[in-house]
Amino acid sequence: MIRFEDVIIKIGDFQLAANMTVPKGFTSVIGQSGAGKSTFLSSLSGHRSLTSGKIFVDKTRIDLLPSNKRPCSIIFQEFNLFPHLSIVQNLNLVCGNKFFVSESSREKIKKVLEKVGIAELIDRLPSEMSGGQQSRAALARVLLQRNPILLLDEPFSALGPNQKSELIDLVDSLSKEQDISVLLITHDPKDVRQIAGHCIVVKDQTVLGPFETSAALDEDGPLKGYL
Amino acid sequence: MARSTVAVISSMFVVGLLLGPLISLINFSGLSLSLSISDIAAIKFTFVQAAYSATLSTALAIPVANALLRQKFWGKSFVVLILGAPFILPVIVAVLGLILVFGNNGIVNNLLNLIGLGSIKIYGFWGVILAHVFFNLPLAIRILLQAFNDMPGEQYRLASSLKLSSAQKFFVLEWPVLKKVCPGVWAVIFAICLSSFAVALTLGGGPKATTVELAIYQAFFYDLDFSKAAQLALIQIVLVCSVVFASQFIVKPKTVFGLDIKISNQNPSNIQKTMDALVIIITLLFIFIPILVIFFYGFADVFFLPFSVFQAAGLSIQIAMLSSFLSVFLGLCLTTNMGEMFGSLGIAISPIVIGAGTFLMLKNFGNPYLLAVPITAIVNALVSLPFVIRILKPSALEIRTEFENLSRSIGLTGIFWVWWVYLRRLKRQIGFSLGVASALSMGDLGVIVLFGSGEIATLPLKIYQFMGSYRVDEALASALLLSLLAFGSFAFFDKLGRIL
Repeated sequence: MIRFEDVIIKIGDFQLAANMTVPKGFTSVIGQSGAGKSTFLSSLSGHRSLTSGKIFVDKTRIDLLPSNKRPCSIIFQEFNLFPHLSIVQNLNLVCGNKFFVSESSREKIKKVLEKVGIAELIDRLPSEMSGGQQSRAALARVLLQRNPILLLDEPFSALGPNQKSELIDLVDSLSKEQDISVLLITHDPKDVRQIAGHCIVVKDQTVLGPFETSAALDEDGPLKGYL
Repeated sequence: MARSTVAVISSMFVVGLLLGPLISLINFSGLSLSLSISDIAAIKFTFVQAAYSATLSTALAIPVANALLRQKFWGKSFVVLILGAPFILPVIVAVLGLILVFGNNGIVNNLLNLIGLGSIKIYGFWGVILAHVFFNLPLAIRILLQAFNDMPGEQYRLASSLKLSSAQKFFVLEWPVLKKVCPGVWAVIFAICLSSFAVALTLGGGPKATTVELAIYQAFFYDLDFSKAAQLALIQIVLVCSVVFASQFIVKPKTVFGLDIKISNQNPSNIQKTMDALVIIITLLFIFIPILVIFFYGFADVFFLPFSVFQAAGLSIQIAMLSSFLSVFLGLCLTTNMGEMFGSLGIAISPIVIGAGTFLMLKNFGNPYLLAVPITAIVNALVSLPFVIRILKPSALEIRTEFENLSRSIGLTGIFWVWWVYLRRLKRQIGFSLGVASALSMGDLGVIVLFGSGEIATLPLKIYQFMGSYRVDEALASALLLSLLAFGSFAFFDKLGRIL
């Protein structure tokens, strides 16, 4: 459970307010371009500091922690992997010994890559893989990080509709299996429809919700403008 | 340790190394502020020669850059690439080459005498200008070519479709670029020539052709007048800082370190083609004949050089390695705006001043000559540091922008970030910087003239000593060896950065 308590984030003239409790499970974050969806997620991940307010995960206050100490993993729109490192080297960066890849780390990484379906690509460079495979590798790293919250900042927006749908399903099943709460930013109401659970709407400089996805998609629901 | 902390500590280290010796020089000597006639002459000469050198280099570069832009010929990329060679060519080698071509018994004077046109003099004012143009013309050509190359190709196509004449094309397309870029090119070359030491030492000298930098050396080394050396050092700092400050108000030219320049073609007329070919050939002859004659005349004796020359070469390599690694290490720590500001102070403070100040500081504790190698290496590192920072900083900033969020989100910081991201992403630039810094140090004839002796001599100093005692064959063969070492170390590190 993530609780935003009177949170205000100011960037120049722009201001975003959030006061809500996000339940466990899969939650989509929807809003127009420039509405503040990424800013909202960045405040949770620690890449942007709050102007005022507090953020709690369960009962622990996290807004004062540095980004790498927060219980969140994040996948961005781009630059999710270091292009000069192989997949095993990329994933090893979250596996304890950071100076070299030990045999035990390699085994651990291979098992996780099997879960996301790309175990045979363990020694490839990101440039030798498709966009979908790169997203799977980034997802594998998230599983290795073992954080209870996963933030997805439109990571699949450059993929085709089928690949995107497959990956959302994969995230959904893995998050259920490992008890990870997911917040997915999206522009596309289809993504919201694909996943049950909750949705948050960012509009008029305010973060609204969470709403039950089915209710939000009703004719009079908060997603009316998108449908 | 945070990046800003590393930059602050490194900046303090660099400032300490640069200002410590200066303060020591002033403390030791006491500072009088009276200028003698010879001091005023040195200041005047410094300004005039720098202005002439900058004006000639910039003006001559315009037709050459234009010709290279217009013409398409086999090996053009190679020509553009090797125009970077004079930047790392040791000054003493270039001077020797210029003497062979333009000296009293040089190729040009022999030809002029043959057709009864008298002779030209390489020593003195015009010799200094000639050498400065030799070094800076290629730099100016490359900056202008880059500026022309940055223009959208559509503008040339539009000019052709409107059937504009050559003159119209010049005023519509090229003049706006020249107006914007030339003042910056001029200022860069002017600042470089203000600090001229090795050229003035070898081709200048005497009351009519002494730069402030050379006057500092003479005051310190020959007159043992430390007060005058300190006074001239301060004048030199004020001169260079004023020029650097003034140049902030004009457009800075792009630094052209990359050598892969894309060049567009403009379908020139036949007359234009002939003129362009002539301009390109004359420029290439001017730049490469002095280098080629060194290879031609030096080759025969290079295997029969005395052992002391190889000892000097060994010392040069040792100093170049120490200095290039120190320079690149500092450069990697100073890739912030503040870091660049402090790291570039080396441009304003003369290496001779740093050397002289360090000499005086160490004199109280023991024999400074024993520390000739580390001192020369440190001073050389500080001299190449501004160039190293200019090479590393743009890519370092790009790496931070692209990977900062990812690195922070997975907790990849400190030494692990440096190891996995910073060094690996920058390896090409690091190789190139090591190459430039080692080549510059290898060919340096600066602070070593203060500390050097018969026993402790780098290869450039050895060549200078051979030239002074008219041992021309040995000087030429040593110059060839030095050129091979300078170009070899550049090529080695550059290649290493690409393949690792």
